[in-house]
Amino acid sequence: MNANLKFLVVDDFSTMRRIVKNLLQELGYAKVEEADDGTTALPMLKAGDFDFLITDWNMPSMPGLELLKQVRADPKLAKMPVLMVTAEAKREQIVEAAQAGVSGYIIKPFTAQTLSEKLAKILQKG
Amino acid sequence: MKAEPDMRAEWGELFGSLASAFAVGNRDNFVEILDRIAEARGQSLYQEVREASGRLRDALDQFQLNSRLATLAGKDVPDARVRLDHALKLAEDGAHRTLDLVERSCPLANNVAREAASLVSTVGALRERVTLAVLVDALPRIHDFLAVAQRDSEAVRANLTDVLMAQSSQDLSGQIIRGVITLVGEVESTLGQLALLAGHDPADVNKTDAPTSSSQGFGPAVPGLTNGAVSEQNDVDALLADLGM
Repeated sequence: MNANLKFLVVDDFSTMRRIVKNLLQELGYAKVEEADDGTTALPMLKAGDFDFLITDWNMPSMPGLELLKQVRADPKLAKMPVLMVTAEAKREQIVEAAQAGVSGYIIKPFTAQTLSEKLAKILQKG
Repeated sequence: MKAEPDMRAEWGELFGSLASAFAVGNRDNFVEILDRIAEARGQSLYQEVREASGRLRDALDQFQLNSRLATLAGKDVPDARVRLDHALKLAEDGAHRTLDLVERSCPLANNVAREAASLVSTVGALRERVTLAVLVDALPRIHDFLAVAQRDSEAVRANLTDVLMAQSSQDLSGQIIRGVITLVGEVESTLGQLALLAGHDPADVNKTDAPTSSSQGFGPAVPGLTNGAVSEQNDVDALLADLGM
């Protein structure tokens, strides 16, 4: 495990950001930053040296799916792992996210174990 | 307005009988027919009054509906928005308070676990062979550890009590949300009556999902309302596996 990986957690609810941040720290990842929407996340991703993006789907200005598409369309960011953690649970949406190139998909409510398993799986594929 | 009934059809027969009775000078017959005419006239007046009172009642109902709608739109619904905002804030504050306490407790528990693990090996070695030097080194560590463990576990216990209390806001937010649910029910029935007055029966509405965009997001799936949603992580994993992920 590479404890130096830098995460960006994007969710419009601050409680959910804190929960994910705490779980990541529990797993040994200390470098975690937060954004509250796709529109604030994208410039941070472009400017920063993030290794991993965890994003919600349903956010007011730029939803997570759009953020995912923008990340995949940016040559510098295209290969970044993107894990979606969301309450959006319709089959068509999961298919849509997969087609847009999501690396993993977790539906809320989720457990600490699920997050840890999906992270491990994505990082293993690297 | 009701069309005026034909005078001949309505009164012709009675008037004819009355005229005949008058012509032949049959007083009893004449008075009897006169009574029947008076009674028929009363009936018809009664009918008109009944219809007028029905129209008045409809107008009053509609007036009440309109004034209820004005109260709903001008006060109850704006109030409900403020109440829901407050419920959201209560829930959020409770969650943050809980997270604060968890974040404060975790390092304490981690610290006790780490120090306990290191003492387990020290004490284990002592049980194999007691030497004065090791004992002199170990005793103060054990003493310090016990003091820290006592202090920190008390702190964790106090934090847990506060976590417990942080959940009490759920009661308040729950009451607010219930109140708003009742209001939404009333808005539903008032709008339904209004729709009926306008000639649309709400019962005829096609009850399919509103056409929202999947890319913006639908929000959490609601049992009984959301179609085509997976119910747990295993379903997501299976679906993604089918897609080759």
